[in-house]
Amino acid sequence: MQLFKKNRIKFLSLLLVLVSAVSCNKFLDLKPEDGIIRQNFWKTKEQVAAAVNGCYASLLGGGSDVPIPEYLFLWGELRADMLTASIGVASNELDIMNTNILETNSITNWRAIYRTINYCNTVLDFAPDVLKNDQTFTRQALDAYLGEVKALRALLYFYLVRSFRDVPLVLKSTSSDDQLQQLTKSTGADVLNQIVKDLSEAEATAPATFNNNDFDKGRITRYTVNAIQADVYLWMEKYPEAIAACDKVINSGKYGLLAGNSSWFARLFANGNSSEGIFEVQFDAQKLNSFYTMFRSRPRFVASGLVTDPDVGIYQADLVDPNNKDIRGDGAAARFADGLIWKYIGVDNDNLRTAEASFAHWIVYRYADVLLMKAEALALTGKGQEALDLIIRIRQRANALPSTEQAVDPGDTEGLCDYILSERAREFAFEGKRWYDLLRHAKRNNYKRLDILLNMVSSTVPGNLQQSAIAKFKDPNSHYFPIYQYELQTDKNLVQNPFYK
Amino acid sequence: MRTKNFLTGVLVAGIFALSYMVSCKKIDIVTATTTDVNIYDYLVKNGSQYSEFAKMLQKAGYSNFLNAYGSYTVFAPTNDGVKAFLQETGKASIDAFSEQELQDIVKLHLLQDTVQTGSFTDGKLAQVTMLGQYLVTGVTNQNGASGYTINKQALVVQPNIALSNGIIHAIDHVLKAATKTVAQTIEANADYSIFTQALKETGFYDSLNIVNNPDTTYRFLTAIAETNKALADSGLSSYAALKAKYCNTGDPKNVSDSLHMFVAYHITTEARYIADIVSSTSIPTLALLEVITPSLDGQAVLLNDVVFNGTHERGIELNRSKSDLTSINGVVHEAEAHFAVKIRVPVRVDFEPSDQPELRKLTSIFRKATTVTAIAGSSGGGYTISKGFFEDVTWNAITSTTSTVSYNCMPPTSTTYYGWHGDYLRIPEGNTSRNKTIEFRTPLLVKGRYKVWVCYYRGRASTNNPAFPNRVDFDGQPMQRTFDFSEQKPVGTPSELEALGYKQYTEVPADNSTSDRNNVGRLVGTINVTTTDRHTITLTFLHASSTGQELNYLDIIQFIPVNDNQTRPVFGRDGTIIP
Repeated sequence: MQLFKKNRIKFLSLLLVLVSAVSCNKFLDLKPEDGIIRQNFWKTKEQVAAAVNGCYASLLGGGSDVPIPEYLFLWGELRADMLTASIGVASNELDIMNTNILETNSITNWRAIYRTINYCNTVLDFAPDVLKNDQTFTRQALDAYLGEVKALRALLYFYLVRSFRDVPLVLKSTSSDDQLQQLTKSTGADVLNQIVKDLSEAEATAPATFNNNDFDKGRITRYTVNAIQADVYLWMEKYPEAIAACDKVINSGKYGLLAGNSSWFARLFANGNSSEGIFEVQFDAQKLNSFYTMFRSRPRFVASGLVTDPDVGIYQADLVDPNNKDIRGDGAAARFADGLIWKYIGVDNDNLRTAEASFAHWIVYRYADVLLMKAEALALTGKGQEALDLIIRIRQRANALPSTEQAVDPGDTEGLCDYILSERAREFAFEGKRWYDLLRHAKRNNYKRLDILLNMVSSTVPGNLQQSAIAKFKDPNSHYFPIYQYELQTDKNLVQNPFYK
Repeated sequence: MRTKNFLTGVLVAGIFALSYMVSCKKIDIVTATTTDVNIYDYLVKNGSQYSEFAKMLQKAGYSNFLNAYGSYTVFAPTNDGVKAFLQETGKASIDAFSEQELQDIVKLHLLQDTVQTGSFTDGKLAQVTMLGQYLVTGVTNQNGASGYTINKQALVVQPNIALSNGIIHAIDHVLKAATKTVAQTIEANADYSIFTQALKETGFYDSLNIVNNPDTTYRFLTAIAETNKALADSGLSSYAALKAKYCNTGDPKNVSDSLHMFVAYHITTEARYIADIVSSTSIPTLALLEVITPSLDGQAVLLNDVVFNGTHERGIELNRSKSDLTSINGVVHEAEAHFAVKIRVPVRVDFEPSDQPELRKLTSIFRKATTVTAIAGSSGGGYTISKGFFEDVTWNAITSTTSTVSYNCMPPTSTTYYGWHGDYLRIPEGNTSRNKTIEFRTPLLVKGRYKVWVCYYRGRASTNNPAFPNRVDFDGQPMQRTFDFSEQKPVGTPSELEALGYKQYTEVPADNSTSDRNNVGRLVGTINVTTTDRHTITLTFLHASSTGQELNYLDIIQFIPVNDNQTRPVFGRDGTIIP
């Protein structure tokens, strides 16, 4: 007791400290201390801008998933005819190339796409509240942002609907645990209708320009929306609408074909953001793409004979004058000598990028695409001559060789479509479009041209799988991926594509 | 008192112990590492679908091992499938079968390995069933939906059910084993009557009729039958006509008789389904040393579709829909036309090692002249080729795994190099990182005796370099003489040179003066080619310790029948051949 009396003040103050520490209200605070929570975010227009940027940035890759452009490359090329497996190929990739797709194949995991869709949904749900908090944030600025993310969401759903056909349509953000839903699949038609709706809303509000070239190519403008619309309408076989959408891009006067000279490759693909680009995923020195490891250091794929063969390939060769060549072939799409897929690993026609400089953009749409989409819609609406003129324009820019020219009567719709299909193969080799092009033409008019896919697959798979592959492709369900096993296990409302049972 | 207390104590303790034991909660010890069921349990558990098949397994005595550790694949017919099978066989129930019968039925549905649909092909499964017959997989499209088929008899209704001791594929019909041998399968088809008679007359009918041949080489056999129509199309409308055409000894059973060889040429060892045929480059037949070369043209399976001596010979197509007939001891296919061993006379082959399809694709490099100084440059100029670039050329160094060769084409103005087409393959050789061996797959060589000439340009970099011997192996057998990339031709008349094993193989220079003795044709030996097929030829650098040299220019390897002129024709730089 003596001790206590002596040090009473000290004891009391110690007690006070103890009590106050225990009663500290932080102790009961459930908010994380190392991050910002939603209730504290969504206050200023800068935060909205940051969130929208986050949607775009998520395209570059995040979490444990590969960057989205790698998925888009694999989805758009693996099942088509322009790749050959090389030493680094993964068994999952080979299985898809050989039409042996099981639901355990992780390439069919759509998680990365839905993650970005959720980011878009988050902006759509919470950005409008900022109007109340930030007086300097205008309605118009908000609508512009909402237009961008709606279009981005529509673009991603468009990839999903072309790859899986029936997918769950998530239009609200998942921002807390009690919002986790066991969703069912929506039919492909419903998904497409939502895409059309989103795009027309986006078209009304997305900015025509950001007054900055890099922003105009790396973010979604009104003309990006039009380009997506054209593609969607072609897929839905609505040709007059597709032509109208193309015309909006063409008449904007903002885009043109780059001259097909010696700097064409460097300007369009190596540097990017050229006047031909409409929407490009912007890799840079801070965020590299995965293409160097895919195509260069230990190539998983090289170009197939369809690309490189001088006699039966799509570009062909001038046997007399080797310098007279299609600029899109050797040294652009691929290096024919060894088949390396050049578009993403070359700085010009002859020189390779270094690993540290592997930031070629992933081009989603460019002007040549709009011209050829218009040609396709024209061909299918009886305007064959106009379609031919557009094809010739693309060919002349590229110095396409006469041996790849097809003498097609302007009235021959199927002939024109075949011509456009092969011209698109030459123009957009390895840009993740080939499979969707083949499928779009094959499925047109209730699969009238299924032969396109059957002929294709009979030459791409090994001889001992050929008959099986052809029989599989006769089932339209096989043209779409299975739902990945993990998704089926976690969402019991999902029903597997019947082809995969 | 003491005792009483003691007894009470015992009683209390007893009651206490009893109550403790009664109330003791039994600890549930998990002894299994997984709750996954085994194959047989799964079938029982899903009795609504598989109870009939489970009953078959039970009665056949197989239910126990399918419930034990192992790795199996079971093709399980559904109850509907079994019912249809019962109806077909006229039995009231499973019990009407004997144990032996059931075993035979069930064995065809069992594989002793796990096989997922991912490894299904157009042909047989790599593993043979427990019955000893192969199962054939495939895909069929019915009413717009595609699914896997087994033996063309059953459709897979639920694939890849993974269980702890294997995999179940549910199928909609019971699989039926083949009941005929290869010989009987052919005999049963009236369209093959002439071919059947030929089989019988030549004695092959009996060899195709053996079940479980103790000589495992011939346990499975594959026969390619010819229809009467195919034979008639070639003017052979009866067996008599066939015999008249081929039988040269009068005894079709004689192995050297041509009719015997004709039939033998239609039979191969192993069960080769079309998927297996199109996956191989050459198939040995029972006709000694005669092979069939298959290829796939679009969807057509062609036999002996070859480019020979510059002309394309269209092959014989297999009729896909009438082929792949499974028999107890093999497979039967149908050819759409008559074919026989091609009698070929040995013909010379001037093989340019640089004329490879992979190089031909490089139109801006292949046979396009580069600078005139290339051959004198330290590296020999040209286009460097890494390992794995060619399908038919491989090379190896002792220390390096990345050794290269290169290709170059000299201009018509060169005053040194006069090789054919102006081009060459340059093969750096040595005992270091340069190549020790290089192997080429030759073009088709007809069986016969040939002299082999290696034609090269002597480009010795330094007179300090030692002699540069190379051994040449044909199909792994060393040839009689080595040759030396650093050696010039001696001076002499053409016949003097030939006697020494040298020749002038180029068009110019004709005078064979000192400075122009560098374009050398060197005889390395005589070979006996036993099969008409593509073979291998290998160059091996022999100097034990030399670091070797870079500048070895290989132009042509010639295979010239021994009785042909060995020195003419000669070859021009512009590609011409001068008789």
